Amino acid sequence: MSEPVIEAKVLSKRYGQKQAIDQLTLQVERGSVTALLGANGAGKSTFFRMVTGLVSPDSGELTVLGRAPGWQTNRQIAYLPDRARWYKQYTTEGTLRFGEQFLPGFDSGLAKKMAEQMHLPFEMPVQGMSKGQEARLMLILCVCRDVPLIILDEPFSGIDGASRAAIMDGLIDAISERQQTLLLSTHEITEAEGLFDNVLFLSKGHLRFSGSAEALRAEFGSIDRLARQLSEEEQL
Amino acid sequence: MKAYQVDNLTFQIDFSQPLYEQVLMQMRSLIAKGAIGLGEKIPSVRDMAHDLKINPNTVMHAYQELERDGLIEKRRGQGTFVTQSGSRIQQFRNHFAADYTQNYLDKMHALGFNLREINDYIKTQQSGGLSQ
Amino acid sequence: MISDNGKKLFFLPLICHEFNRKRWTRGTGHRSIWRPTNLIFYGLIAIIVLFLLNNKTHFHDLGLIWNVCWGLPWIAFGISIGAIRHELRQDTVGWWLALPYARLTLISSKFWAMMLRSVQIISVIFLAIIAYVAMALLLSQSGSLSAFLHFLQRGIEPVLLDLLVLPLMVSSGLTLGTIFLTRWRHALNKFWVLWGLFWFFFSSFGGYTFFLTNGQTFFFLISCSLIIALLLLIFSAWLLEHKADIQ
Repeated sequence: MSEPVIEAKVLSKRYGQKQAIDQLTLQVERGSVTALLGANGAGKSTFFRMVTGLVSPDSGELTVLGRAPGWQTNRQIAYLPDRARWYKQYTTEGTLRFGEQFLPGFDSGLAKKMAEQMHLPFEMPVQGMSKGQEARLMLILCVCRDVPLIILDEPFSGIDGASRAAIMDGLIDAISERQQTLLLSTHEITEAEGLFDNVLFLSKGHLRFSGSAEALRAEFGSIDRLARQLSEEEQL
Repeated sequence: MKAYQVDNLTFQIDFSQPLYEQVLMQMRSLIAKGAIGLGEKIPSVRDMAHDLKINPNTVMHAYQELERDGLIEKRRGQGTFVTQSGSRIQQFRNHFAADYTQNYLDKMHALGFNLREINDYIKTQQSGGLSQ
Repeated sequence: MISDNGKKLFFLPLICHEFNRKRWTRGTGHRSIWRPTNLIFYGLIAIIVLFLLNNKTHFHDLGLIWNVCWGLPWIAFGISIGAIRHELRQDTVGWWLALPYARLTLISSKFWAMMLRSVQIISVIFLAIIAYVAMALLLSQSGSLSAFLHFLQRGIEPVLLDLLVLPLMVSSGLTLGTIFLTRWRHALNKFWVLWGLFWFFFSSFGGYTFFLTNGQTFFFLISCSLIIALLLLIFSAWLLEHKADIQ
């Protein structure tokens, strides 16, 4: 196996009283679609924020694309933050220009095509868009980048069915057209589980288990059911 | 288990089973029984992935295996097609038929049936099935 | 795999991006109705006041209007805090901090955008004051060109003071805003108490008059303030890099 895209070694991070990440050790395989699963507060978003240099770990070692995370590595990462909203004054057109100006590897031709496929209004500012339209726009900003790593934190949450289908289609295109690593966290597992190559399951800030999606299916059945089962166990 | 339509082909995908095997076995079956004819174009990896909601790499691996089977061939710039050779498909069917039969016989032998009893058993099962 | 657009011009677009941020976010639907209504309302008030002034005012007191200048830097301070707090409030902070630029670049672009915005606001207010006074003088019997020029002359110093103190106000605002993104935000209420105390003592011990009567000290302090502004920007960038605590 080639060098992993992300490697965490005994990583810890505390927010006040809460141990958000607790001696987390994991690897994300290059070129894979990896799902980061776990209950709310399991540390998924915090982990992503560390990978993108938004917060720094208290202890442990984190390597992203072969170096410590920071703004330089962010050149090579497309990141959809947790619960993110887009800047209200931007239109679709303005957003694509934003991508072109500020996000390395942004393919505005592809983005324009996707925006049309996803039926986004070009002239309307985000302020007037539905939440689903805004989510699609943000997804385009992420998946239309020719970068080695795409990180999506809950790309489906709070989004209507039609937009979900559109987002799934966008993701499938991104995977088939480029050899990118896609790391995503999601609650809507049923929707997306056909995409996963690997699964990492977080619980209270550490890695509960990990494995290839196909092997987990052979052993436990659907990943959706497995995740539910684990979350229930956790609550007992 | 859920049915998915890709072009005019139907697939049954069960997310509690490995997906690669399902795609591979169902494609083999579609080709073997002629649901996709000789020399016909098969759905692209992208279309399959979109319609089945699965990872395109999974489809690609299944297609690679089908290529090794000799059932399909890639044509540059045109897509992927079922082989033109009927004998190749026949050969593939025979190979699997032999495999399955052997498998069946082994299991029946293990239950203590001999060849004549197996024959009779199949006949009664078939007529029973037909009369229903 | 990545096209290297590192040399591409990005700082100016980044400033534009910050400059064009939405200033109003609430009541999206009402804005279009309320704006003209407000305009008419304040316009009427101004006209009424003008008519009253017409008979009553002593125009040598008009220069007192320039006292507005004491307040204007605080607008710069406030909008600069907002420039960062809005990222948090509008859930865009993740996008902002994941931009592939050094923290100092991100902060500096906000700095220049807020400088421009403050100059814009201050200019509008000054123009409004000048237009207002010009109208008042035109309408009154005692008005004259020399009175108007005298009025303008009295404005030069406070305006200059406002512009000179802007960098410090903007960068302190940005620093304070940045602290909201760090673990230190819990200490901020203590900061406000100290801040209030400082200004209370500053003004009660005659800080303002001291500044205005000691020209040399004044310009020395202004140049110090520019250096402090720069240091504050570097400090904010450091905070973002090492102390950011976004949950």
